[in-house]
Amino acid sequence: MSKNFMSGLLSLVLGAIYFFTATQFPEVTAGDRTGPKLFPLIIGSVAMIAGGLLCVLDRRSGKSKPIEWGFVADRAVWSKILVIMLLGISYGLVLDSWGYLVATTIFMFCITMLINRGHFVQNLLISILFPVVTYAAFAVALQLSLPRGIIENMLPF
Amino acid sequence: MDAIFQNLAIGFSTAITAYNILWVFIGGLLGTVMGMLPGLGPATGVAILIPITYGMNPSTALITMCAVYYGAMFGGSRASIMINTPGDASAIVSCFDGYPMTKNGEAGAALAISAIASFIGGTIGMLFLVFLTGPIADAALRFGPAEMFSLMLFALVATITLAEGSLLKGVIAMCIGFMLSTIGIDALTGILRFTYGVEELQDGIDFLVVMIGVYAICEVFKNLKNLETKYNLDSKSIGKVWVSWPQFKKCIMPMLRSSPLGFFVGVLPGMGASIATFMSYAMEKNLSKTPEKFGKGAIEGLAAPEAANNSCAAGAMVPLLTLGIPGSGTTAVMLGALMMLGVKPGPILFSQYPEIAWGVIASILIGNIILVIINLPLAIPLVQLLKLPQRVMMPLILGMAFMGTYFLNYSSFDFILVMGFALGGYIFSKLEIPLPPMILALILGGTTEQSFRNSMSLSDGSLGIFFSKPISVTLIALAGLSLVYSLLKRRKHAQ
Amino acid sequence: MKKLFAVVLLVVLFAVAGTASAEWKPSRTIELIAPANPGGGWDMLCRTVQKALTDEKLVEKNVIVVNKPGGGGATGWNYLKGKKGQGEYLSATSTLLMLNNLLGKSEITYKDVTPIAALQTEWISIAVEQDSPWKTVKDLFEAIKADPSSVPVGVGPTLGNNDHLMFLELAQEFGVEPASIKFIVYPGAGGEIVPALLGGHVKATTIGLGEVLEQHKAGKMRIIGVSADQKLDFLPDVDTFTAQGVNLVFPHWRGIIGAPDLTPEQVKYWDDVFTKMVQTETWKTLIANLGWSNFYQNSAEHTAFLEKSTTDFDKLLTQVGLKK
Repeated sequence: MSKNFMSGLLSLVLGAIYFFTATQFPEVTAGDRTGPKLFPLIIGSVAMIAGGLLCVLDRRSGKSKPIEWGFVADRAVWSKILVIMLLGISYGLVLDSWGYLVATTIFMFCITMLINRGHFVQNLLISILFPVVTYAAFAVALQLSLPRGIIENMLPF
Repeated sequence: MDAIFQNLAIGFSTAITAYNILWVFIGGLLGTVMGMLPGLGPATGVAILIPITYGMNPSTALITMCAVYYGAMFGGSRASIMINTPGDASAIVSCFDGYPMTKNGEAGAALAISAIASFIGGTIGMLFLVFLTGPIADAALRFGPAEMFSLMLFALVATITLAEGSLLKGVIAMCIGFMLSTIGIDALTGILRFTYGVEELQDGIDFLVVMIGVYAICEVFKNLKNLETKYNLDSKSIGKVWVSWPQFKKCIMPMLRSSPLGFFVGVLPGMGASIATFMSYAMEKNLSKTPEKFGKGAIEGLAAPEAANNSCAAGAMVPLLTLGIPGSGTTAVMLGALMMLGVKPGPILFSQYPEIAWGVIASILIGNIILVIINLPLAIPLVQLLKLPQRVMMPLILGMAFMGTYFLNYSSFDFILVMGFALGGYIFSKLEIPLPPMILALILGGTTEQSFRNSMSLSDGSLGIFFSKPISVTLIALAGLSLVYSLLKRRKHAQ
Repeated sequence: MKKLFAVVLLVVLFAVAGTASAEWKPSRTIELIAPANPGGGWDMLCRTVQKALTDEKLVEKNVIVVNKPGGGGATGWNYLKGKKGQGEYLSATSTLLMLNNLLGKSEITYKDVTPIAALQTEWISIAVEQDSPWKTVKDLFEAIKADPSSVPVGVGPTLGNNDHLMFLELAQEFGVEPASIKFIVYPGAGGEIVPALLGGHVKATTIGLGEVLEQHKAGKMRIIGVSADQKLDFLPDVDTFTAQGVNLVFPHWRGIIGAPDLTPEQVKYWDDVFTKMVQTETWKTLIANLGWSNFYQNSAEHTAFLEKSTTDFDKLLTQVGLKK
């Protein structure tokens, strides 16, 4: 599938879902005559028209460029992306309960071990220094709130 | 005229004291640091300073807070240029050519021109503030909902025409940006839209979450393929944070054109620096004899938005100084701090507190000079950071990106969103869908819809309102023209 | 084993008894949560409280302000809700705590947290253009009644807030159909409404007094009524709604709530602190500078007030058609 055709298709599908969802909104007119529907309906329509047109034009031009996903050739990249995404989401989930310092140290260590393979000492250093320096700068010096978490009572500030 | 110079003299004598300059320096440095981290911006920076300003007299307090504001404008683009991560909405456009310059080994020149252009923009903004505040403030009052809507339409169309390839892809990107902007509680009626039962989406999606995802983290994804590469930095140019004369010459006109544009947009209530920077970039690309170089490291493509951005910050002072109302989130914090100190800002600020009003104006010039002094040497160690191999840089970028995300809303749900947008951005780059129209539509979406609905309310449902007001008609005509012009150029290019 | 168990039990009992009898004091940095971005009313309240507490040395620990914007306050309040029993966490609150729940925008109510105090109020005003023919609220509403479409009214940042509700309540008093009023909503609130009125894009606005006071004094626009209970000494040329024959006093108050499940000792501690705070010169000067008026209620009074207000608002919202 070509880049343009896929983009058009994406827009067509998103636009249609969006348009349909908007038609389901209740009519409310308390103090506002246009209502919450009209603007989304316009956007949805434009997305569908632009998407459809792009698909048609792409088929007719005959000069379409194929998408290079690289699922096979760049397998290593895709698997790293997947791991980073999982790590990022888990980081978010434990951040409040474990606290910024603990969670960030672990997160940074995993990330550095993934990206910066074979430099154990360097990675350990980065993953300890990064949270400590940022915590000192933002939470201590600038007094922005970062979660203290499980080591709440051990922190002097 | 004499009165103006007399007042300026009051201003400078207020601003230039060792004590004030020290604070401008501290404020500027703090602002620069805050501006660099996505998620922390000038508003937070000013808020942090509030407890310190209690001990100050009002003019020092305001001058210091202004310095944070301008500092954040300077700092925001540092990260854009070096790691393709805009620190704030106003720095997005600085990525377009700033980051390619870094990749081409011109990080030093990019950092230098961004500081210089910021300075020039700020200075021109200050001159406008001195001589044209009255007429411009009056002109800004004529912007009602219809004019606002048309202005945003124009900015969006101009941004769509920027991208290479099919215009339709720009339109698609814009629609996706609008779709994202309508998620959450509708401000007018309070009904939930497009949340699909996800409670965390009720408050909508913060554009900074999207920005961190599609720029910062997506850039890491793209670089995973070649972990060992370093930037192309030859040892001769690396320490040289300066621009050559031919480079500077290219930037003169773009800076002079963008500054007035930025200033005027800054004066308009509710319009931010994002509009100013996108419009100035589009203007320069359309005026350029070598538009194909834009996006690949054209130095004027960096200078123009930087100038527009800083003169926009000066423009944002106009509503504060002439009407006593905040023109942006940051000036709202400043206003609050001033009121706590017993100053009552209002339409009579200039006559009631001349030393504050004129002191602030003078401080714009002084602040910009000091910020150039801070930022040019600061760029030297920053450039050295680029010597780090990608495999060390990338974890650090990820760490900063996540911390920035956390500071936005303190919500772990944003971490899921940010990862999703990073993947989305990666897919977009595979499909070659341009990001700028999406980001701008997302930032402006709320205001665009609101001004559209307000216009429709005012006109009792008639679209005629957009065509019955001279300013609005002009803007819509300009939007149409730039669309047609861009279509013709593409046709010519294809042949 | 049994012996050990008995010892542990004894220790636990002593510990519990110990905490129950001793006075409570914050043991760590006190977080004042502003459930909004810097610059708004909640943020300003937190920062004035921070200054007053620190300057007057009313607390021994450090006080920091934490901005947690989102959900019309819900994000910050939910964060507070998660800090069960911890007296070091306080948050700013206002009528929105009730309104958002009644309008179905959030789940959280005052029952999910511990009301600590109401501190200040702003009065709401109705302002019109300087050269407008309307001198009283009656003039304005008669004009609206005659031709609603010709009188666009600026309100912000959203519909369903205090300013909007007060205007609807006035409309009812004057027999104007709430649904007929042409509201123009400005998400930037005062920052956009003031220029809109100055530029003639709206003909009237319902807005916090502080946002238009200086404009009125400078002769740029005219305030035709305020929601205060008596004439304000800094605004001698404007009558209250009551003085204009409308039975309506509408405070836009702000206060402080604590985490859920606070012990009576913790509540007593904060009651003492805030009772002292509102009498200090620092606090009095600050609220005067910000154009606020005193509206102190202690924890018990405030809880009762919240209960009554919730019922009143529920009735009002149903009457004006915002709640179904």
